[in-house]
Amino acid sequence: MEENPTIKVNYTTVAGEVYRAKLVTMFAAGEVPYDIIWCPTSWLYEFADNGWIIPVEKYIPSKIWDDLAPITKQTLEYNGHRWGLPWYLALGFAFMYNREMVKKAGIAEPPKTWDEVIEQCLTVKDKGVCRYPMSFSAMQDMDTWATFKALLKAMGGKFYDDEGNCLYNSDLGVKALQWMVDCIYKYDILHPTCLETEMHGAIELLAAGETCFQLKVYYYMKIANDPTTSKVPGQIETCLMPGPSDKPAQGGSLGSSPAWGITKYCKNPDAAYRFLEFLGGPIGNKMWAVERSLFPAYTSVAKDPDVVNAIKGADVWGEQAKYGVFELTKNYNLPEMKYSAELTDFAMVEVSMALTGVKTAKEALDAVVEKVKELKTKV
Amino acid sequence: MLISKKNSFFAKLKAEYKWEEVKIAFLFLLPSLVLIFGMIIYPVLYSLNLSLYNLDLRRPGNTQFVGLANYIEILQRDYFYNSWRITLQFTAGTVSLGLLLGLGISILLNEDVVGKRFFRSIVLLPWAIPPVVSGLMFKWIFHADFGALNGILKQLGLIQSRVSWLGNPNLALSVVTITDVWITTPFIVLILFPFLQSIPQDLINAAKVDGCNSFQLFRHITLPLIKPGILVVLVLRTMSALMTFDIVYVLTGGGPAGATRVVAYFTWLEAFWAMKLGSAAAFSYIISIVVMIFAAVYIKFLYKRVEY
Repeated sequence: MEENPTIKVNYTTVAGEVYRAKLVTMFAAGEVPYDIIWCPTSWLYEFADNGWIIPVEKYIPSKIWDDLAPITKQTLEYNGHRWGLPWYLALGFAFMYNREMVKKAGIAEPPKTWDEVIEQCLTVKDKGVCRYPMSFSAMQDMDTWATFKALLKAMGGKFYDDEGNCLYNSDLGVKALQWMVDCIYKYDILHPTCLETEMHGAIELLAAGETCFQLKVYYYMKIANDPTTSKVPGQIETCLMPGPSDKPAQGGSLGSSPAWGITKYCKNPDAAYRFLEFLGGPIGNKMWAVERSLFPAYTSVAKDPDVVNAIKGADVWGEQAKYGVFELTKNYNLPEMKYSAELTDFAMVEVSMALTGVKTAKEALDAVVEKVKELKTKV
Repeated sequence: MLISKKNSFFAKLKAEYKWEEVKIAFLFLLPSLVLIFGMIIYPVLYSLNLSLYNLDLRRPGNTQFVGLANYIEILQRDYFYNSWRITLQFTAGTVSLGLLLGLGISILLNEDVVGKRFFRSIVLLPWAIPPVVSGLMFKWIFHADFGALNGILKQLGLIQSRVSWLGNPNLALSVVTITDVWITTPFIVLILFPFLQSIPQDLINAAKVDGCNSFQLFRHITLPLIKPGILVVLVLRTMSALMTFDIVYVLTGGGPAGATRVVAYFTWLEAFWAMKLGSAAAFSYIISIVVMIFAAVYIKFLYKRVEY
């Protein structure tokens, strides 16, 4: 603001659960008092299609654009335009573990394949180190659906083939969901709280020392290591995402970049862009990285010593990003994009049915694929 | 003919009431009428109109009049009938348990015991706590790992390992029902207790003199006289139970495996998750029609004038 003394910024925060409803309602009513809004990836294209946000490629200098991570560029480009600048690089899920528990169980290094994950969980359990060594979101909510998709990707699977046919119920899809089911019933290693606690609650298990391994969004590692709230501060580490047996430690993850965009109601887009570049440019990304451990979307910022020191695991995740893919398909005409709310809602119930034994993994995923086909007819 | 009928109506009105008083009374009522119209009648009519359009806030430019298509589409929807089954199961459970418990507590409070004023006050406490807070409280009580219930049951040796009350599709609805019973029983006591208090003591004394035991007293004297109260409880509690949303949202989020997805929760998903206001409005009207049918059935079969 020292560099732009004539620009005043008013900032409004909205609770996450109501943010989308509020925003969409305002846009539909044509009364939006905001110049810059935050857009997760799946909304970005919807808002762009509705003309609610403006393209910003004419403002972004090439030195800033070229510095962006490849996944971020994929996120922000749509229909030949660029729609904003990134808040951070969402690296997706990370595999975290309690270093001391693993050492106590006599395990030399963290798992590299999903079979090794099960083996090490059973070792930790059998040696009495931890009763429920594994944790991931298993409640009926969208985080559980995201967990399944991350696992499917990490096992080498795909969501759609080149013709746009849904592959959730492929052999690998069923294997991924069955892996989650087996953690509960076959191996009895999943912490029971995971079945009833929403996404933020599961990280508390790791921070409380109640579990040894966790599959969760990467930035939660900071919370698990926080000395003010964690019972095991400094003990939580990360490793490369386990992969299939032919590609150990190359599971990768699904990445994207939630973006800041300028609304069509902005009366002064030039001034708005100057703030956008602060918020979503290298300066803003470094600030979020150092203060909140949000991995920066800029390659130069990711190598900054302050950032490397601030984000424990940055080196691992930087390596993991090489095996990562963009979270969503770029084909906006797929139901995944146009009807994400309906599909996510349906899918999370089906996954929950599989995890609670109401349906088999195959039955649940077949139902999801049928739903995708049904939604495809609406597109 | 119409003009002369209209004239005679107003003439009759003028003859019965002083016109000036009517005008003044209307002016005093006007603020309330504006409020009722603005906050109840207009929104109801507006949402009825909305239910005939395919309004999707994500694609507002595609809005069209579709008539009853929203209603038909909902009736063909996945989970619709399952959602009603869950809702009716929940309603039957919470209303019947609440009524039994509420009646029992009312009878106990009607007795002349030491500290009766104190008990009559604290019985209202659950009702005074916001349902969302009660929901959160019960979420912790039933928590698989940290919950008090599992702790107590394990200490008593009644269970060997932790029970996942909220993570088990066969148990989750029972937990929601118990929570709702806890919240709403004080309201039932509030309705039934005055009816119990209003039963003339002479009747009871006469019945006792005639040799009635407690059960016969309850069956032939108490129950018939509190029937109007029971009817009020049934109507109001059924309406409220059919529209329950808050404790489901807090306790289970409609899960696990859709086991607690009541119809009100579905309506919320449609309106605020999928942003489809047209079909959400249609959904809510379907719920309203069902509620009105229940109310009509209750009144038809249970309402009788009570004479002492």
